[in-house]
Amino acid sequence: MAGKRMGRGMLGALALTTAATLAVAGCSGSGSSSSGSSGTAARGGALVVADDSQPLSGLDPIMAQAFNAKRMVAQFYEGLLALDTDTTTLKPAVAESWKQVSPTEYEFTLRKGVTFHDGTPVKATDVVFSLKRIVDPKTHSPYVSLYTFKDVKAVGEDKVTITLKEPQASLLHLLAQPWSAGIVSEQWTKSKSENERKTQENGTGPYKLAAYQEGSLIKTVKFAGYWDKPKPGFDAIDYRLIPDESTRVQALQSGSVDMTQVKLPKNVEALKRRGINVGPTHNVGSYWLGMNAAQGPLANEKVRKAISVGIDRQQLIKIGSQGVGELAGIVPPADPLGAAATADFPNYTYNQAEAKKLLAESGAKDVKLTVALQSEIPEILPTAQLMKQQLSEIGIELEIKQLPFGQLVGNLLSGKWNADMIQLTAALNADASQYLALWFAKGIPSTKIDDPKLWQMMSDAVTKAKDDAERKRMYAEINRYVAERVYMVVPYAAPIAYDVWGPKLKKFEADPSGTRIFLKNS
Amino acid sequence: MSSATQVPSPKVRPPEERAARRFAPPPLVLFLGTRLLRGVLVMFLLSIIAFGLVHMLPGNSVDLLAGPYSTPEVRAQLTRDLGLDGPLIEQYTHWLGNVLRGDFGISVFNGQPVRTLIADRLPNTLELAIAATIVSIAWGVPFGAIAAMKRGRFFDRVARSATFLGLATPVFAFGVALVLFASMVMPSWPTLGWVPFTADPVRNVQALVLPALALGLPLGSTICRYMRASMLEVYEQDYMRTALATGSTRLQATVRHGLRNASGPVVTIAGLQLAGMVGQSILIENVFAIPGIGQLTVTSILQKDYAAAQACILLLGGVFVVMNLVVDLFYPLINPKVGGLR
Repeated sequence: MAGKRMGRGMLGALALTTAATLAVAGCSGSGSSSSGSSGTAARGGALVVADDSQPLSGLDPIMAQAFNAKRMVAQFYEGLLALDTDTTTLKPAVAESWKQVSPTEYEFTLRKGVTFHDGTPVKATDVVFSLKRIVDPKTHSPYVSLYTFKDVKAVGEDKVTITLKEPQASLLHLLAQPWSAGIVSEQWTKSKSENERKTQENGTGPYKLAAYQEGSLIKTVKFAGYWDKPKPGFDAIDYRLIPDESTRVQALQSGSVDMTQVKLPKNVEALKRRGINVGPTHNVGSYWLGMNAAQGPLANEKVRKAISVGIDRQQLIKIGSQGVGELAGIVPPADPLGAAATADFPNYTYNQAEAKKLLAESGAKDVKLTVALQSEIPEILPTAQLMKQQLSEIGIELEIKQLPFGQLVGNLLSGKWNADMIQLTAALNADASQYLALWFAKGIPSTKIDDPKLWQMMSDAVTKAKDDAERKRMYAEINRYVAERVYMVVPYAAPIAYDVWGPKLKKFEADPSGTRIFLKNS
Repeated sequence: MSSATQVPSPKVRPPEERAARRFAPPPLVLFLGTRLLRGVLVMFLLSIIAFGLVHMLPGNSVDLLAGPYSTPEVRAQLTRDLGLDGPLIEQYTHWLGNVLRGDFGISVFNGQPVRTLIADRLPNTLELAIAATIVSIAWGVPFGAIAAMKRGRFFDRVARSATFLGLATPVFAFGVALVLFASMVMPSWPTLGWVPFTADPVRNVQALVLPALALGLPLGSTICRYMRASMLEVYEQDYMRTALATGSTRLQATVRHGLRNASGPVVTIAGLQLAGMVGQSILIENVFAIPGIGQLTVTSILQKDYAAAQACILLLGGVFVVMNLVVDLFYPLINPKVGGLR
C-alpha cells in the first residue's frame, strides 16, 4: 500500500516538475520593457543595470569610497559643483555660480529652485550643515582629512562662504564630487539614524530611490523635480545584484540587463566581438608595490633600485596586464591630475647587469623578500609571479603571500606590514593627494619613509598650486621623485573595470572613476 | 508495549538500562531527551566557534568600513562606536545574551537588523533547497530503479555514466554551464533576477527552474546510485522471488514490493542532503544571483560583518542539528529497534 503510494508520488512529482517546466517555458519572455527608438538621449523607459555588489557603506554620500557605494550615491546626490565630461572642467550644480574672494575664501551662490527628493528646497543652512558634517569626527567620513575648513557660513538666503586655514587647490574639485561633498538636507539627516541613512536617501540628484532590497535589487526612479531638465533620460533604473562576472556577461548578452561592469580583459574582448558597447580604457589602476623602506632589506636604497631596474616592465605590461597597461607612477595616468610615466623615468629601464651591480654594491646577501597581495583579485597574481621569476634572475628571492583585502589593509594601516612589500591597486580617488597620503603621509603608522622633501612636495601640491595645470605638473614631479628613491615600484597602470552596455543606453560616457556620474545625460 | 526490560543487547548499554529502571522514563523520551540535550550543547559550542572564528579572521570591519584613506582617529572612533573595543569575552557574552533574547544585532554595513536580513533570505534558500530536492528525487529515484531493473543493459550503463558525471561536476561549474546554455537556447528566459514568490509567483518559478536543476541534478546522482544499489539488494530477497514466482511481472513486483523496501536508505540520504543543500546553495546563489542565506554568509564573512556572519554560521549549524534530530526521530519509526521502541 505504502509502496504504491510512494511510487505514484514519485511519478506525480516527476510529472509535476515536467509540467511546471513546460508551463513556465511557455510563458517566458513575457517581461516587457519599453525601448526607445530615437537616437537622442532623453527618451524615457527603464534601464536595468547589473552590479557585482551593493553599497558597502550604504547610501550616505560622504561615507562612500568603494566603487559600489560611489556609483549609487552619484545618482542620488550632488555637490555644489559638478564635473564636466572631461572630468576636469568644473560646472555649477547645486551652486549656480562661485567666486574666489581671496586665496583662502570662496563664495557660492545657490541655484534657485533646487529641491531635495522630499520636495523641500535647498537652503544655505543645508549646505553649511552638509560641509561641516564631513569634518565632524563623529561622522567617520573618510574624507575628513582632505578639508582644511576654518569656517563655513551662510550669508543670507542663497549664499555660502567657505574660509580655509590655508590655500587649497583641491577644494573645488572635492566639492564637485557627490561622494566627497554631497549636499544633504539638515532636517532630514537629523531625523534619521545613521543606520537608516544607509538604506534611505534624500539628495538632489537626477534619480531617487524607490526601493532598496538588500541582497538583490535597488530600484530608482526619475526625480521629477530635478533642476537640470530635461535630464535624466530614463524613467527608472533598476540595479540588480549579480556577483558573478560570467553571469553578468551572459545577462548582458541575452539582453536581460542593459549595462554592467566587467574586470577581465577576455570578457571585454568577447563582448566587443558581439557588438556590445565597451567604455574607453582608463588606466586608473596603478599596480602599487609599496616598499617597506623602514626596516629589512628594502631599507637599503640600492636594493630597492636593483628591484626597479631588475624588473622588465614591458614584459609585465604584455603578460601581466594582458597588453592593456602602460608605464605609470604612484599617481595613475587616468587621474585628472595624473600623467603617464615615460621611459626615461629614473630606474625604469630594464637592465639586469645594472641590477646585479647595485645589489652587489648594497652589500646585502641572499636577499629574500615577501610581497603581500590581495587574494580576492586573481588578475594581479600573474604580474607578481612574473616579477618573482625576473627577480630570481638577479639573485633576489621573492615570496608571494595572498591575503584578504581586509587583512591587507589592516596590516598596512597598523604599520605591522608582515611583508617587505604590500601590493594594492589604485582606483580613482576623490583627490590625487590621497594616493600619496595613504603611503607616505607624515606621522602615521602606515608610512615607511622618512623624507621631509617629499612631504614638502606633497603639501605644496595641495596648498601652493595655483591651478590644475600646475598641480598636474607637481604630481608628475612627485611621481618622478618616488621613482628615483624607489619608495614604491609601479610596474604599470591598467584599467580596473570597464563599463559595458547594450543598445538601449545611448550617448553614455564612461568616466574614469567608473561611477557612472554622467548617466543622467543618457 | 514498550518496557525497559525488553531493550535488546543489554551488553551494550547496561548503565542506561539501570538508570532507566530506576527512574523509568519512557525510552522514547530518554532517547529524544538525550538527542535534544546534545543538540543544545552542539549549538552552544557552535556559538563559541562562530564568534571566535569570525573575530579571529584576519582584518576587521572597521578597516573595511573606514577604508584605506581614513585617519587613525576616525578608525578609533568607529571602533568605539561599533562596540569592538572591549575584551573579546565581554563582547561574546554580550552577543550571546542578545541572541538568547532573539536579537542578532545590526549589520554594520547596511544598518539593518540581522534578523530581518535572515528572515528576508531564508524563504528563498528554503525554496531553492526544496525545489532542488524534488529535482534530485525526481530523477534519482526512477532512474535508479529502472537502472537496477535493467542491470547491465544499455539504460543501466547510460544512467551510471550520467551519475558519474553528476558526482564529478562541481555544482557551480554546472550552474555556469546552465546559464550559458539557457542564454543561447532560450535568450528570453529570465535566468537572473530573482523575484520573491509573494511578489510574482510565475516569475519566481521561472527564476527557480535553472538553479534547482543546477543544484538538484548533481545531487540526484547520489540518490540514483543509492536507489540502484538498494534495489539490487531487494531483488535478492525472498519476497521478490515469491512475487515473481506467483505471476507478477518484474515491473509489477518492483512497483508493489521493491520500491518501498528499497527507499529506506534513500529517504535518509535525501533528508541529510536537504541540510547539506543549504551549504551548497552558497555556490549556486552566487551564480544565479539569488538573495539567499548562502550569499549573505559569503558577503558577511568577506566583509567582516560580525553580527551577520555569526548569525549565518549559527543558522547553518542549526539546520544541521535540526536535520540530524529529525533523522534521529525517523530512525525509531523506520527501525523500531532503535531507541528501544518495540
